[in-house]
Amino acid sequence: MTSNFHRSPSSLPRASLYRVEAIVLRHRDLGEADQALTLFTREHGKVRASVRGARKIKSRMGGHVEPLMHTSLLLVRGRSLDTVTQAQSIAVFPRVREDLVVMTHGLHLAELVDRFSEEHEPNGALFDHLIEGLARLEKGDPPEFIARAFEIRILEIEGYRPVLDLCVTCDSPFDDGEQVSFGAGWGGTLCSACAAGGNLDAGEDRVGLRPVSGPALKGLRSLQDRGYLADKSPSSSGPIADEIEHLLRWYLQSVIERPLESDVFLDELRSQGHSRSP
Amino acid sequence: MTSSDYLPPVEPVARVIQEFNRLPGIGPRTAQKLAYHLIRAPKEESRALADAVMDMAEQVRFCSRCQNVTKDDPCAICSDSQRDSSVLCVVEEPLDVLALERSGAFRGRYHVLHGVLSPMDGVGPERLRIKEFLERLKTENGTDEPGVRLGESSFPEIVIATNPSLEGEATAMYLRGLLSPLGVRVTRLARGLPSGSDLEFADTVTLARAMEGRQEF
Repeated sequence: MTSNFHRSPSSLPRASLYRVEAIVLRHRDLGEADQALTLFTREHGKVRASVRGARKIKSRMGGHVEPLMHTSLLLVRGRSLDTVTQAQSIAVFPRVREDLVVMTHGLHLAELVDRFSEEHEPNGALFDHLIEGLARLEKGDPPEFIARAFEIRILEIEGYRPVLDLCVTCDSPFDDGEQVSFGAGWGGTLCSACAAGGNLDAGEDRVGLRPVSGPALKGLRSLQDRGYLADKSPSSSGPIADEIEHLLRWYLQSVIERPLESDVFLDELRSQGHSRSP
Repeated sequence: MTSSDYLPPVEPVARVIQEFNRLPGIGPRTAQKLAYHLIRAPKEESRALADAVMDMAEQVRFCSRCQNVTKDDPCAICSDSQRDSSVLCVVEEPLDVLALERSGAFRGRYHVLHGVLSPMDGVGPERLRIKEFLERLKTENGTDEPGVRLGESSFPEIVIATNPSLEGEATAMYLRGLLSPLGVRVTRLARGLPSGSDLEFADTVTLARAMEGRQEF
């Protein structure tokens, strides 16, 4: 029989039981009554875990591990999935759950975090950013504005901050009334001369450029500089808000290399005239 | 043993494993176990399984009214004249109809959506049987005018009995939006504490709903 008694501390296995503060990003059914969760934890980054019997009516944990809940969990390490052994919700964001459009925007924030985060890589700034986004949705701020402010900040946290105040190729500032373009592949704005091809290297095509209007550029800069303190109206509704949304969506897709499911769902809702519930 | 020594299962076995592996919840190892179980079992067991699967595939269809699985169209519930035609219960899956029927608490009609909206997975209304549901509201009372107009639903009450999960709530909210212009009474299954449970372990959402829905005692 072997004993752990003479082992040095470094050779001992990692503690199998650990506590985390997490936001549930998504869930899926597993087996007969279990659920598999994708969690974003403050301490360990993204963690995948199962909850036994979560779908049973009398489950003590099912109601604490629904998507978008901020919750405190006790987990046991497993081979592929860790297992949740205790769960206690900290914040459930009830108003986010009571409106389909707000809920979809909340899930959009969660999906962005899921796409940008890696398993077992803690990212406290991103965790706090998600909590703040959900709290602001709960408070009743326009969900479109919250989503745009969240998107521009997550790009910054993850190292993809778009350049919006000068040309990314020639570094020159823009003249008043100049037609500015946005290039997803360039990571920011281009002046009219560069966009026309004058300063582009051979092989760089102009297909990946879109013109950006003055008010939309102003709105994007404001979101970037002031975050949730920016003027809400340009990015909440109307044609400028649509332009800002489409530019950011395009840039995000070029970074994460595929469309977001929540965007597909939101587009379908909008095509049916579904707007925010009263 | 090296990887070159690996002997794959003979072709018919590999095919069975592959087919089992397509089923939801069955991974490669479970598929292998099931296939090797059938090899060892009497041939009659394999034949009975194959016949049962084929009969199901050939005989079972969706009821043209409620979209539940049935052998006859319309299904037994839709063709039962004793049932209450003034109330329609919308559920996610056929198994939910069985659960509600077991309870004996509901004597109205059903509509099965065959799924639930899932913004996280991009599952939108087009993937559910919502079009059939709206069609039914206007046709089941014998009218075949295009579109459902205000106050024209054939069911005065619609009970939305989707699961109390995030996706179930999303679906319920979507349906409520569709139904509100029709002037029908839209109700939702009550949410509260399960019998035999302990208040101390109830989550805050359930507890809040249970308190909101308290009744005279």
